[in-house]
Amino acid sequence: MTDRQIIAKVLAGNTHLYAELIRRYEGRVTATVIGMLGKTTEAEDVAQEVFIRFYRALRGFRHDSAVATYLTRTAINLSLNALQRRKKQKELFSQTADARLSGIPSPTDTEYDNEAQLIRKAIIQLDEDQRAVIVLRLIDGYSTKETAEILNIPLGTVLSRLNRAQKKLRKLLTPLLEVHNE
Amino acid sequence: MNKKTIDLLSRSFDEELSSEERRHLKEALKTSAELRKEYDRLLSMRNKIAAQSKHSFGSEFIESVMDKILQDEYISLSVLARFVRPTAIAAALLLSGIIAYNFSRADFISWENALGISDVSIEEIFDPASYLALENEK
Repeated sequence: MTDRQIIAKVLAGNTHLYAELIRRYEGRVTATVIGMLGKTTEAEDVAQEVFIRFYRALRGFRHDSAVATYLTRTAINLSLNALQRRKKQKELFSQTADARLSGIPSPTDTEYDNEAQLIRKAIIQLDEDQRAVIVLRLIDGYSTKETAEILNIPLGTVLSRLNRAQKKLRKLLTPLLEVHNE
Repeated sequence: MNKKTIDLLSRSFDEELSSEERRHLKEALKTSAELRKEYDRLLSMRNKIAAQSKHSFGSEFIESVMDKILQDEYISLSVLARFVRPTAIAAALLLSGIIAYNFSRADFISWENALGISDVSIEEIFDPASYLALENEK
């Protein structure tokens, strides 16, 4: 069944069929949200919210973009909102408290003891704008043009953010990986 | 290995380089082993980052989302039922009352009589000519 057919059936009253759409795109949405927020309970809440919002918006969904693109765009926007909330929490609370409150993985966390987790830690250290382009381009696999469309920014801006992000990740990851691989 | 060449290498992964830039980079990669190593490191890093696309929140994720959606639907329907049912009952009673009243005044049962639609024309009810005559007499 195509996405369009599933959506038509859900709108006709077969709500339980929506689970199939979630199954198809859970991986993509999860990768996007974890890339932006780290593997936290907050990230899981945001991922759930992506699908809940899409369900509520189904009636108005025009299929102008693919379901995957729509969900990814929503995931990025909700993740950026979550990052804004973390910033505000940081302003209210002390540095030591904010990691527990906002679910930001701590750099001293023992979670970071394998390669994947070291990479996630490095990505989290990018600023939001750079993180978003890295997640869309490298993790979600969108072209630079598609990344620009999803974020609604010029292609030139995507390219310069990618370049700066890549250089920063290069600095962060190579020494970490060399130490890890010893 | 100068900064400009490293920058060119970094950009080459995502950007369409000019023919001049491509030529410069190709030449630099041919002559510099260090640059080739740097290319391999960047490629390896990008591939490892791309491997982050394999993630899942577990088998309960779908169930959790569906529970919230179905709960939302149930709440919406409950709210609707709380207001719609009494309103529908009141409307049905009112309509029944109107139809019963119209039938009581009619000679026979018909749709027009049920709805109180008269087949008398407006001219039979109100004659403008006689109205004007009355006004003139005044």
